[in-house]
Amino acid sequence: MAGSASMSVAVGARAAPPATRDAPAVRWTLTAIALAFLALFLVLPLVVVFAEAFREGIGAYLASFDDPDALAAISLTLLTAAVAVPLNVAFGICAAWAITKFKFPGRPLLVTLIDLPFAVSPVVAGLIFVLVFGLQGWLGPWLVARDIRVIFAVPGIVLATLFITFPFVARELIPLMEEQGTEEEQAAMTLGARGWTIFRRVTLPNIRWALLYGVILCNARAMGEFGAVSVVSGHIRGRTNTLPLHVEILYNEYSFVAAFATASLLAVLAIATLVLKSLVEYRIQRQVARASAGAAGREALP
Amino acid sequence: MARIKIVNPFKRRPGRIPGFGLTLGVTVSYLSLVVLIPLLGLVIKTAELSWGQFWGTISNDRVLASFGLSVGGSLVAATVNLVFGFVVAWVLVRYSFPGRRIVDALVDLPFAMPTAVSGIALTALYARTGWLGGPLDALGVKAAFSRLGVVIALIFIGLPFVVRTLQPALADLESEIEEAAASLGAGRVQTIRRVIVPAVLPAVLTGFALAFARAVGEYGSVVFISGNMPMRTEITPLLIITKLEQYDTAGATAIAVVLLGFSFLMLLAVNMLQLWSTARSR
Amino acid sequence: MSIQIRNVTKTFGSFRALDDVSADIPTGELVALLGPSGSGKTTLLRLIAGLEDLDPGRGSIRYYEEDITGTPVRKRRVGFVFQHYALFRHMTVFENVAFGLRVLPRGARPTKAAIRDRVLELLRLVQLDGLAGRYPAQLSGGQRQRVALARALAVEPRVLLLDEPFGALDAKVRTELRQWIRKLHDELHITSVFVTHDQDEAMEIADQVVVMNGGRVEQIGSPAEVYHSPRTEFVMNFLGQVNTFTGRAVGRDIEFADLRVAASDGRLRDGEVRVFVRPHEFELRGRANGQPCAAATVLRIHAAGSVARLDLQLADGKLITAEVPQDRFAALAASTGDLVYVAPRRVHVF
Repeated sequence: MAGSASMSVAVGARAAPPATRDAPAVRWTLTAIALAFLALFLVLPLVVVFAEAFREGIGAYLASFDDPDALAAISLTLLTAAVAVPLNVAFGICAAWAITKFKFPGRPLLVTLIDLPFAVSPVVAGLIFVLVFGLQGWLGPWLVARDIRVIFAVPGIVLATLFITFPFVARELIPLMEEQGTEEEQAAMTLGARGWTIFRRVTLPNIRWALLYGVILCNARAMGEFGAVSVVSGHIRGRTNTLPLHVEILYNEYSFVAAFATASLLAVLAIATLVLKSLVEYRIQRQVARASAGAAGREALP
Repeated sequence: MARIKIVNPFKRRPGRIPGFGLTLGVTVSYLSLVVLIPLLGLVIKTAELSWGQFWGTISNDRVLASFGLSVGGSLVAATVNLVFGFVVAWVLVRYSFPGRRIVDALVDLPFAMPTAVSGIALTALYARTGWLGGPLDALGVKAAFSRLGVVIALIFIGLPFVVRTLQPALADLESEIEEAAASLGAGRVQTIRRVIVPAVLPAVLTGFALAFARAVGEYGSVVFISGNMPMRTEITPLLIITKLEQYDTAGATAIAVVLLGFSFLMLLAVNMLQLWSTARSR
Repeated sequence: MSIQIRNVTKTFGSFRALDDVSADIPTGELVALLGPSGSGKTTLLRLIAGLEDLDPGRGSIRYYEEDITGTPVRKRRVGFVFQHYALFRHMTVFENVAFGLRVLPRGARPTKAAIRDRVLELLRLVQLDGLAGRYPAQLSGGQRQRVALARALAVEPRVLLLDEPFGALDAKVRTELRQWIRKLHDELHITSVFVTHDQDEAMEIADQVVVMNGGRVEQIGSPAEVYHSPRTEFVMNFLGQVNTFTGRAVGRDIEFADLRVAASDGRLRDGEVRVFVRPHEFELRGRANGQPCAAATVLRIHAAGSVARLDLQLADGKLITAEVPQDRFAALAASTGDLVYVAPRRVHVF
């Protein structure tokens, strides 16, 4: 649900017709209400992160990162994303290919199942891995016998992150590839192209912006996930702490400057995500406009 | 697990796009491994609980209080978002003003910001020493470490759901139906009340349901600001973690099943709304 | 006059959609605004309705002598039928038609029973009785069009305005519906204006046709007037097929293609002119009979249809098309390659 590309309707040079226009007073009031609400609930929390991080000056800010545990948290976060994003990209492409290029029984069910992780509370997502891999879990005794640690260890963190970020890429690709249909792939086949070539030369160029969009969202969530990871991590400093967990620990120890300094890294990540996302959205809108223009052209043919 | 035989209706038929077996195979395997089997773990664990055990856990006063807070707070937050989210979506779709694109991008901040960061930021903002907490405290309102704090965090987390669901619906509204209403003598308020709101009602309700569902399961942005006092400001997801930390796996599972059941109901509701909306706009 | 449009100008950004347009719509008549796309016809209709504001200080619109230039659409009491109907999808047919009555101010609003009677009466009028409980999505295009019409009529409008009313329908339904609309108009006699780009449609059902081009009015008149006596080259070209020649004007006569004939308007001219002759305005003969005529070779004959159409080539190589009634064609007994003699009965020069 994080992903549905927003429709920004550019109001062009042409003013709205009078019957659909709001009176200026109404327009100003509503705009003021909307902007005030957004400032209160979105802008202020963002600003406060940096204000708190720099409360004691730039020196204290930088000192927060001079800590092996912080560096360990950063590298674990990067590692988690480096595993989760490529896996979910591969899965997302496979799922979108199977779902949009073929019709088969159970297709709607598959689409619903892919969305499932969005509906599950992050805490429950963490819990289910504890129930499978934990000491009292399903595979717990088997794992203990072989001295494999999943829960309270890196594999558990990666698994929980995989679960949480599972739908992001697939759900961006499915609607787009559905819209694009299979004509171009079939044309490529008649020209003698084979599976991988068709994908690389025909499909991929058509979906690259949506794919990038999915990757951006997937990455942001993979690096930022807190609830699910919190359940499976065990909060072992320097070993199983991701950045968000490190923020929590610092905050609970009343190291506010360090907590907000670490949080500021994640806030910068969030801002970068938003900027990239808007840029990519713009590209996708253009692509969709082109695709629908093409569809209109096809309809016009006798 | 029994091997599921996937029948490929297109196998070896010339002129068909290749890759069906491979991609569906990967999809189903990966889905099973990462999502379905772990969820099955929860189901099996639940099946091990006796009915008495299950009921005993979830009818406990502290658990019931957490349900009340999570569901009640989420309802309030989703309702606030319904009203203000509508205004925000309307302004973003209908009006043009400098910086509109930036404001539009900003709406996704709660999606993009890690919930732990949002949590501590909101807490710093609404604590008695904070920029907003101070003035509120002077008015006698305790924002952080109270139920109000929980609702504030849930408003933050739910806003994009309402706005992002409504925006396309409002943009797709043909200007002709507003003009038709006006030509039939309706004033602006009548047009909005009788024509525009009913036309986007499925989207409004979908956004509400999504925000509500997300809020009930939300953890990271709430735990810092809520204060986590049992019976008063303890949300259900936190209670699951508490049970788990006390090695009460059975208790955690019982509560999680209730939460999961609720999520599925909401998912069902959202799908029904979607069906309703497509049936109408055919 | 029920609608008087005086010197109206409308610009969108830098595009001038209407340029100093004036027209009168007579009471009780069915008037067509006819023109190609981009001619400003829809803009003019929307201005009449009040769905667009005209450029400030540039012209005026009156209904029955009352200046309504600045009146918002909801106070004009117009019935507007949109090209794509703009039905309220979440309302039943009944609720759609009742809408205009339900939003009346409390004092003027009819009782529930009165609204019900009025809606059912209108649905009978548009032959949709029995479909009151349906939703727009459950209706065919033609049925939706009639719901839109009933909805517009419910408020007892002073004028009825229709934007491309048949544009979104398939050919068969279109012809049926336009005859039905003409009949309905004859029953109700409500002043009506409709926009169309289809000259056959305008010719068939309108009492008056306003031909528009490039934001200006080219000609206003009855279908017969604008067809037989076009006042501009554009109208000549737009309403039906025409052969175009370059010729010379000498006094009241026109010389072109070895011919010298009198211009049909009898005006004095001098110099080079463009000459227009409709295909059916050519007389065809098997041999020259002393009257002015030009020799032409028959290239191709289309004999199927109510008239026979011949593609001819004049001595100077120019290609023209002529149409003759089937009995004349039989008497002519021409076949491909034969030489025939053509003489224009009417010659249009602008």
